[in-house]
Amino acid sequence: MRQRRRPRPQLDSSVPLALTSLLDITAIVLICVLRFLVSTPLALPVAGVALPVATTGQPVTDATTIAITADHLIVNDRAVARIERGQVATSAKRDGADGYFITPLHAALVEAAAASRRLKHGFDGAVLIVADRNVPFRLLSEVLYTAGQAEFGRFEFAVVNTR
Amino acid sequence: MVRGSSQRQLASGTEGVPALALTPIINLVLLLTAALLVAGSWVATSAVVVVAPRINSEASVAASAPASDQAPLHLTIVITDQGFYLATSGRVLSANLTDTAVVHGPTVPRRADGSYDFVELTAKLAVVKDAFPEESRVVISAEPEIGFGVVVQTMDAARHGGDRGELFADVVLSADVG
Repeated sequence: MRQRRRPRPQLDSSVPLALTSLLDITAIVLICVLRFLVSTPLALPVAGVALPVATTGQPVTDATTIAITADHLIVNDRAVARIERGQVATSAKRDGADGYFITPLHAALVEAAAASRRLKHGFDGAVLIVADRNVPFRLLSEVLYTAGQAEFGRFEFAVVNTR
Repeated sequence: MVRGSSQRQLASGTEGVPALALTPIINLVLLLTAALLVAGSWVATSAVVVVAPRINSEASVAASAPASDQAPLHLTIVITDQGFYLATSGRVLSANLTDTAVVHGPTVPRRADGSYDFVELTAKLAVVKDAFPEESRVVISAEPEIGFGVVVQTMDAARHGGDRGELFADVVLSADVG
């Protein structure tokens, strides 16, 4: 005898969907994402900068940032000098074309150091340099020299960690 | 007689209290999470630390000198378009790491495909480290047109020798040699 097919149970539309736990999980995920974005200064790297690659490194600290892009020198999100073909304009240099001292960069760094002294308990002289991997060493030397003149003595280079 | 939902609400004492509409909130939070995940960069970034070169003073020279009886090494790596030159105390090292007054070529030349041979550089530095185990300082310099990426990879190769462990951890950048 053929067995009668059991009818499928009808869903009771009056039973409310328990969404509270789902809402809890989603809120926790959102808080974790926000916390990660806030605690990582380089979560959103500078546009147009291809960072160099390294197998070593330490966590990025919250410090004054100098970004060296193909077009600009940027201190804490403020462009201070233009770069053309890997060189800063001679007019921005105190000692002419062969000089290392970049005047507007120095002024911006002195200002940043003063702000850092006001806001933090101690000025540690740390500066984070976010530079494109194709930036010539000469330009990097000029930036380091100028930063040194503005009392920054600890340089951190942002890299992409491959390990 | 079948009781309707309003009758059930009356029985449970929730009359007049509207149910909390959580669905739009969940939609909003999910969209916000997705937007943040897309906007954020998940590349693992870190920092490579170097110190500024100090002006030659008695204190800084004494601080950089190793505690042993060995003469200070003053190890220097110069990056050129031909490869890496290693030098110690003003003398350039040849490919077999012997001192030479006449420079015949880079200590570690570039590979045939034009890339820099960081593996060979690390191997050469490991030999130097074996001879000077107390030394941890290396000065890195480069020609003006050498890219920042090559400089960072050189620092990387000088700091860690893979299974060999730490080589020269205190990296000092020097001005270009142009």
